[in-house]
Amino acid sequence: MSEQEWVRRARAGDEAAFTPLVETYNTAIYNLCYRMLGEAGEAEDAAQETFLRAYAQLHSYDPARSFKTWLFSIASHHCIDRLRKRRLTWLSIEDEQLPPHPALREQTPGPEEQSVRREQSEVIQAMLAKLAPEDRNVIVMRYWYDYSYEEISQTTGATVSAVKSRLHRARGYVAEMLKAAKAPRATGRPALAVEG
Amino acid sequence: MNHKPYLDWMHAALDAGEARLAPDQRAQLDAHLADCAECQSLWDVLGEADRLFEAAPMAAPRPGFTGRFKARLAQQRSRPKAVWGALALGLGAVGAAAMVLPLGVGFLFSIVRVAQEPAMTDALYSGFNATASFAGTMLDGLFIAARALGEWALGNPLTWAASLVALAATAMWFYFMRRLVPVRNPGV
Repeated sequence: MSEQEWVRRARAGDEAAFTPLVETYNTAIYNLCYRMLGEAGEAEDAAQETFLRAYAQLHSYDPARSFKTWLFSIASHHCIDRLRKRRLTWLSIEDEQLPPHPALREQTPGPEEQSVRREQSEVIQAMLAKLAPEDRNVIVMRYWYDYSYEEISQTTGATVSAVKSRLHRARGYVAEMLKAAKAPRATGRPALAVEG
Repeated sequence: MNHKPYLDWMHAALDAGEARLAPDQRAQLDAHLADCAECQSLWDVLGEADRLFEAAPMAAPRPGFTGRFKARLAQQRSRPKAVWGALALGLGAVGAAAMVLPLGVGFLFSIVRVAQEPAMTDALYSGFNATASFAGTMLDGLFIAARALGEWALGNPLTWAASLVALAATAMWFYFMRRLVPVRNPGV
């Protein structure tokens, strides 16, 4: 049975028809929530809440629109709302730099590849945590889901030019962080908001 | 020197699926990077950031996500919303009564206290008498006027008939005007 059929049945009130949709998208939605929120427990809760909201709002879903995009839109907005409720503390890149480690300098695989990958994941999460929620969302959509500007625009509700601007800005911040992680001292770096 | 066009081209080159650089733009960018150490450094870290994110894996939830979702959905549905709603309504009514009753009872007691004063009782009785005799006087006046009109009408039948016709025509005009002209509500 196709996804459209599952969606159609779920919209008609068949609760069991929603289960295959959860099974299909739970990893993608969880990954989005994890990359946005940075913590596994909270990501699980946010992902569950996303599907609960999607189920409750099925009557408002437009079948002409991609179900995945619609689901991602719910997840993105929910995660951004959660991030906005967190307390913010401002830090300069000079004050807290990413610790240098082999993953950033050596690209050749070694015997401890799994450990390196884990460290890379921590570095990625640390960098994502320093981005503003909207910029973080665009980076996640672009790199984990290969979304186009148009698709990101449809998911987030922002214009295509705003999406492009956010992506370039976020990339620039990440580049600055990588530079700062490699150099012992960096002067005149802009302050970034991190979650405290 | 304006580095912004080259920065835009760097991002465009990284977004290969969105906007591929034209050959001449690529050539200009390469030439600039060869001359500008700052832009070359930026291009290097942008590429590094790009590779880092591209290589990042997809995070997966703990096994049993769907089962946990179904349990949560069932829990949400079994919540006695009607009971909570009734409780909220009841509490709201009790709260409103708690605010209004003391004021209302206090006001009633003060009225009773004032009404029990002897001077107040006499004043109330006198006022009632005066109102009743005024109403009686008005009614007498109306009766006298109606009798006078009737006696006059009996003495002038044509005038009386013309007055009745005029009265009937006016009533019918009002009736038909209400049916034909819709009442306009300026608020709609």
